Amino acid sequence: MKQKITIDDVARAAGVSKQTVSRAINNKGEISPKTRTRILTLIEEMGYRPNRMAQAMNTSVSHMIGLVVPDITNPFFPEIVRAVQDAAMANGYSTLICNTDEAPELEVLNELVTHGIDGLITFTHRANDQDVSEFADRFGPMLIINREVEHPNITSLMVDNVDGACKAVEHLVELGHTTIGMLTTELESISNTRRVQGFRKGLKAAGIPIDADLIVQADPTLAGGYAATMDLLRQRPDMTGLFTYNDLMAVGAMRACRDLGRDIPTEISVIGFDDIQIASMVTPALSSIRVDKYEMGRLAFERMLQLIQKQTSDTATIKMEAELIARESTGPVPIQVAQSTVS
Amino acid sequence: MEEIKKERVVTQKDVAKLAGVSPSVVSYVINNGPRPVSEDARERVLSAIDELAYRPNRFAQQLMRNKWQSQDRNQFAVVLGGGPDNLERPFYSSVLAGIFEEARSQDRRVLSIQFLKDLADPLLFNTLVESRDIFGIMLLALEPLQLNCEEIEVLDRIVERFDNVITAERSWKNLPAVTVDLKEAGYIATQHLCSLGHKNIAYIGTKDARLDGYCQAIQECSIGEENGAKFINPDNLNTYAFGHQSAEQICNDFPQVTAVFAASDEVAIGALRCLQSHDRPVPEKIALVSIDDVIQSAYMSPALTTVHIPTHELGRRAVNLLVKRSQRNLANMPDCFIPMELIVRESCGAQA
Repeated sequence: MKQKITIDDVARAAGVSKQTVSRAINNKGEISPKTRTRILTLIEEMGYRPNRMAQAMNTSVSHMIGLVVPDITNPFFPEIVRAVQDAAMANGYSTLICNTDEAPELEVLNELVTHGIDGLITFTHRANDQDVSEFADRFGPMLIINREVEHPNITSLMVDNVDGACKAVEHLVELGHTTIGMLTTELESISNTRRVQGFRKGLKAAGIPIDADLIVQADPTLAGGYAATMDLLRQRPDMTGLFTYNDLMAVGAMRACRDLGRDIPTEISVIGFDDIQIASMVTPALSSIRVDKYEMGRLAFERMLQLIQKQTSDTATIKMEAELIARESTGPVPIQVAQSTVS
Repeated sequence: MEEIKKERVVTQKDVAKLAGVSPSVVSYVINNGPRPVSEDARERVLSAIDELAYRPNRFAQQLMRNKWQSQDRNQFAVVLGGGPDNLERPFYSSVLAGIFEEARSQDRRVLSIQFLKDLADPLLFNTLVESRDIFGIMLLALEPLQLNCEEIEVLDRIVERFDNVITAERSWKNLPAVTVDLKEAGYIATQHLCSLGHKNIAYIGTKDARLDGYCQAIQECSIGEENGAKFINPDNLNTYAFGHQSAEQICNDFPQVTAVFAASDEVAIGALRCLQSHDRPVPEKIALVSIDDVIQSAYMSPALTTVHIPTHELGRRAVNLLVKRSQRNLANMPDCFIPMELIVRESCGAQA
């Protein structure tokens, strides 16, 4: 087995003290840029990996944070990844990006920790509160997006999904719609629960009775949105407005409307949630509820950094608003429907 | 103390004993919490750890019996060219989905997804490119024209440091690869437009093998070069924005263009958006064919005619190649080209 390279080896090779090597790694304290570059080059050449144990004892040593997303292939996440990376890089941090996919979330987190990270930004949504708390006991500062767990090491960042969904309904109601459907998704998803809640709240506020037949569950995908809309519109041709759990479903729904000969927005209005890239590229362009994903990643890193550097112990939940982006896919309720409602 | 070092693995207990503290204090020091530890106790623990050469990682691994160890070698890393916006692209997300699916079915795991340019950071590089933790590295999305010197240097270092490295989608030097024949894809798409009788076909995309395929098809159909406007992205990106912006130019300055070959579905979707809003409806006034068949393309209105690249399959095969190489002493496998086919939908007008 190869001899393990230590900080002493690097120091010796560079002809400097251990402390200087450490300063170069952490980019802290007095060190000339020239020396730092020379040491970093040596670190690279020699294949030195800072001792994780030492890192664990001294926060903010590895200058690495972990970012764990549940599904990197969902277009919602990449922008957050980008924001976290941009912010991290600007602050001299690098990001270890992991995707839990269907692997047990805590297993992935435990694994990640062995790589000596200073902080963790994650979306854990399947692991239960107790397990997450126990992990946070052992680990340290972590920031969880879209989930609240009571723990001194955990900060939450929550998008106001209830309010966002409410805004979508308000928008449709303002356009005169009263028969409004919703495509929902997996029951265990917190964002789904909140969005359904917001949908109901919006209808209630407008004095529109909730019609359970108009709330349909489907996969949060293009295909899921397409199939569910085909079924829903066949059963309920009277529906004039449709709100979907996410934009992918909305794009699928739009294609279904077209295949059933229902013009958007003159005959039916569709509004999604998330405002992913493709929303503005489809014709008609999709109205959506925008979550500023870049800002989300930026805020997450900003707070993480403060926590790592102990500039704050504030673990109060960070709240983010969602905003309505009205484009072409939503329009006034068809005249004949409007008239029949009046009469 | 010498005895402990030689005969068995040093545990937290040994450290605690030497430092004269309880094992949980050792744990607090190592994990930096959750409880505070006095400076004095901390110092003692640190020097005991030093003296005994105690390594918490190993310890944790052994505690989990061999589970962690075997798990470690069940992991591989994915390294992507470009930046995080590549993740936003439906093509790569589908390849990644294939990678994850195959990894899962083979009981393997992706340790992390890293961007090539980030690995210029030596610490991150050493953390990730480490044979104790992973059995292989898969390179993805290496667009040769997009690679800068720094990235090429990192690539060379990866290959030098690590044995089992393969590349998916694009080839890189002589690394084992699962790739897409972009020239063939470009040829199939353009040829389809030629066969529909188009004589003035524009190209929107990057300057790569797709353009070569386009040129070949045009030549075979004896369409003069002057009848093929080429919109080449200087940034080497096949994005919605570039498709939109090029289509705008076509609408304004190229009334004679009757068909567009877009280098990717994203380019096509961007172009489609522009053409529809400029009274150049697809396919009635302009036929549109692209490459990729990303999941969105079937849901567009009109649905895209496109050359289907089995992206999912690409990811799966790449995992297979990586696993096989790790099992068979890095035996050289023949490079594999992913098969593709033209999917005729609405945007080319063939169905009208």
